[in-house]
Amino acid sequence: MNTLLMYSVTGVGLFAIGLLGLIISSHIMRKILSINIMGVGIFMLLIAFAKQNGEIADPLPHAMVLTGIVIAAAGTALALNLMVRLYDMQQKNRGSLDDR
Amino acid sequence: MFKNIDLKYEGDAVQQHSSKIIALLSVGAVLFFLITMLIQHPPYEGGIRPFVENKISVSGVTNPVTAVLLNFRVYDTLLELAVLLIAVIAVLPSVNSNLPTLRILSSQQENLVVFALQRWISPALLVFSGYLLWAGASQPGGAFQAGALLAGGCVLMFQTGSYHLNYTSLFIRIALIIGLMVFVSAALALFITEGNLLQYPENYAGVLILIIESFATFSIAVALAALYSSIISTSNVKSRGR
Repeated sequence: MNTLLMYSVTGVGLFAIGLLGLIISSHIMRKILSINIMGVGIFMLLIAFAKQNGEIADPLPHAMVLTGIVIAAAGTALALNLMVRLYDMQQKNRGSLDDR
Repeated sequence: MFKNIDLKYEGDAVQQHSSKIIALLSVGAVLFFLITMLIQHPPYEGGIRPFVENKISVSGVTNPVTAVLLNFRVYDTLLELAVLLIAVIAVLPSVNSNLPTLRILSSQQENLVVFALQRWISPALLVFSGYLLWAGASQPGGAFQAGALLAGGCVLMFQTGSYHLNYTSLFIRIALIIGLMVFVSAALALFITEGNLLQYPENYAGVLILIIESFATFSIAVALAALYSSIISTSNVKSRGR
């Protein structure tokens, strides 16, 4: 088993862990974390593929991963904000139910 | 804190264990399939490395990744900045507030570790992100790394609660869009002078890339800081309210 294959298999494994977490966990925070782990797995796979032939890595997957990391961070922040908003709305609903 | 926002199915016919086993088995099957494909997959012979190596001398930079990001596939980067801006617009409060851009609140910080950390690390982060931006021309580095580092420093600063930025103020709005604005205006100017969107003239490619990257760094940092510190500020307000 060469190094590149090991990195690729690790990336696929991370993707599978994230997918499993996304399916079986019901908490939103865990779901967001799982999506991030899936993303990290894909980044790792891309980086491993970049060096598949030759000594010097192909720069295109690296550029894609760089772009992807920033977009993933932005998407996670958006999801967390929505989560906080959802929590607020549920708290408000509970409060109005208690008042009755 | 967020214990009550599960998306649990609470109706009839819930069998926790069997559904988990089904999920585990199907994900295991997917994993097995993917690993078999990886092992049998022959190395891909294409790739744009030969092209990049031939053309790197006219790209204005010497680092191939930066050359791809900001010269050969610059559309991706342009659209990425737009995506980032859209995410920020989705998060920003819809109500304008008239607070000043930056308020320094009286120090209400009990957590000495966070306070000391931001005091000592923030200046170093600022210097280091400037270095990363500059190093991007020839080594790993560039606008995204520098922007992300700067945003991390900003989040650390806002975590102490002694600084408060008003994200709807004019200055922050301009800071958020200036990266994209410089990018688009460079594209339009190059369209007029060169005939193609974002086709850099050979002699000015390096300078143009540096200008675009600097403004992009600034915008990325402000955008990421806005995205993350809006979460911090809402949770701070809540914990204080109780």
